[in-house]
Amino acid sequence: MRSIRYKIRYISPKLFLYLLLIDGAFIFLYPILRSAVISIMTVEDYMDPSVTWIPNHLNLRNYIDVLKPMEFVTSFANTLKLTLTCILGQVLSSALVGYGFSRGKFPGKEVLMMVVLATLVIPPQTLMIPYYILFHNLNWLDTLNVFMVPSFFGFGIYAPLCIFLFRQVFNTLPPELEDAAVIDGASFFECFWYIYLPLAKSAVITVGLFSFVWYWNEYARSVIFFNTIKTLPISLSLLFSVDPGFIGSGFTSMNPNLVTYPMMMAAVTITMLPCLLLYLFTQKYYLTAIEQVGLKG
Amino acid sequence: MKLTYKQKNVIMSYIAISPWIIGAIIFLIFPLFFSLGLSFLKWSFNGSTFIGIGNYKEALLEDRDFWYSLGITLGYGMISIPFTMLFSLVLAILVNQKVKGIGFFRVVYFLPVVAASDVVVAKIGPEIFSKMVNVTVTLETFGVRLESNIQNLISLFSAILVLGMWRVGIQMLIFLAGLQSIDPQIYEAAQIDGASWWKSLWAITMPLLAPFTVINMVFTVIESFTNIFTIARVLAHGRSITPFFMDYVYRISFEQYRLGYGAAVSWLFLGIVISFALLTYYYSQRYLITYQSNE
Repeated sequence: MRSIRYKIRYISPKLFLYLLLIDGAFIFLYPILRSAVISIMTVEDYMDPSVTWIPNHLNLRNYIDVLKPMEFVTSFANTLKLTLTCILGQVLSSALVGYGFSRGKFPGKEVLMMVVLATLVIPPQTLMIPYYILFHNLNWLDTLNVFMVPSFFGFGIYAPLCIFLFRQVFNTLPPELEDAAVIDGASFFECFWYIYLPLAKSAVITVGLFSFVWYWNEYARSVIFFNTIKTLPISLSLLFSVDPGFIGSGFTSMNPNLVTYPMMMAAVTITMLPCLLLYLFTQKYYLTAIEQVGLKG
Repeated sequence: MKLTYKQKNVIMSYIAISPWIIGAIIFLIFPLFFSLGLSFLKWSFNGSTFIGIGNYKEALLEDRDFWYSLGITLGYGMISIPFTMLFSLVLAILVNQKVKGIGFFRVVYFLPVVAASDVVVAKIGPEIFSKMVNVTVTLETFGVRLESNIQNLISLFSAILVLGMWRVGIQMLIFLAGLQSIDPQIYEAAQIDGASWWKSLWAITMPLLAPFTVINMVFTVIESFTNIFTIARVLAHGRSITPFFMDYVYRISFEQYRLGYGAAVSWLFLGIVISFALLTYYYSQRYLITYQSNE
């Protein structure tokens, strides 16, 4: 028979641990749940202090009403186009460069890899002014080129990390595969494309998924380089058009509509939803990314 | 001439990394040198004049705003780094427990990193803080210069800190990878020797975790000096009125159009961030060596 002492000794720490874990989960989920709940409230419910979690009236109109001030169709299409193109660029360029750093035997390889990683330290503020002038002279301001072209040249968002991830994954694959293929007459790039890249599928997926989130949520650069509705990404549309308190930049007079607070939370939910869904279905790849890099390497 | 296999490999691998090299010339070396050159000029729309190190002199000797925003930024970093490290370590230990359903909790704890962009965080933020402190109003009264109001400073820092720590998932995963790399047999041996949980934490986990702590530290230094301000910015409804360095540069460059001076202060900031990252790396590396040789 299990005694009281057994229970105290073995069950209560576990119970305590679960309480702690659930507490933590609540803290992490609270803001998201809260905004989702507010987004289906009417304004009266939101103002009513007796309503905290369960609204009196289910009000899904917020979602429909907010689409217009958000310029939803334009901004969603823009962001999707930007994100998908940049994922392609980021995956291709970082895979190729990572392969070069893994399989190549050229002098200065390790030093150059350190330089690639060191570029992470450069604060974006330092490059802001020259980028602005560069893009201005290339006539790239207010075009998606601002993000798309760098992503194809290994300068996408957090590209050094992607290159490093690919290098690490290629390093773990046996070099004998290459030797065998070379004997059969395969060239350097054929080895990359037909043998190593398919084997590094998990790295391709990880880089792609992370890039999706990074580009979908990008804000710091878009706010400087995008000034017209033509290229408005969804993060900026959430910031400018939905927020009546916002002053400044080219979007100011865009939104004469009145946006209520629950509508704003509906916009927040809409913006979050694609990343959230993607994450819930593919969380394995996000959570094992660090292990794939193999930090000790 | 026939190339040997090895020579071919060298040429081919240069071609493979050539996208990055071309990218580096266009998007890294050129912009860096351009802004370095700009920092020696007194720039204006109709012609610039070379003034040598005049911009740097002005920033270091005369500009109170420069020192103010630099102090706030570095101060925030110094406060946020230990908090972030500690919090992510606690979370990593929590999700490293071998109990049923732990996968679910890992998913939940990492979720804000994915779901909550800077804009989303800042939009939801005021809702959470409305009962404690109205951050936006704080930022507004804050303005560009803080007139020795320590109360405002504390509320601003704590708000950004809490919102930043909400997205601590990456650091948590780095620590988790570290914890999982430790051989469980060491703990078993310690338990047999009668070590308490607390004792094993200090004597086993912390030393073995040290390499991961270094990486985390460098990552957090970069994060908290460069990327965190977008939250402050959005909390201020997108206006560049926050006291952080990024907004200071933005005001100078894109509102007063003093591009030369803006480039100069950016370079000063670059130097400071890099030396901080290097110092962190160097000292923790040294600590690591002495720590491990003492065992």
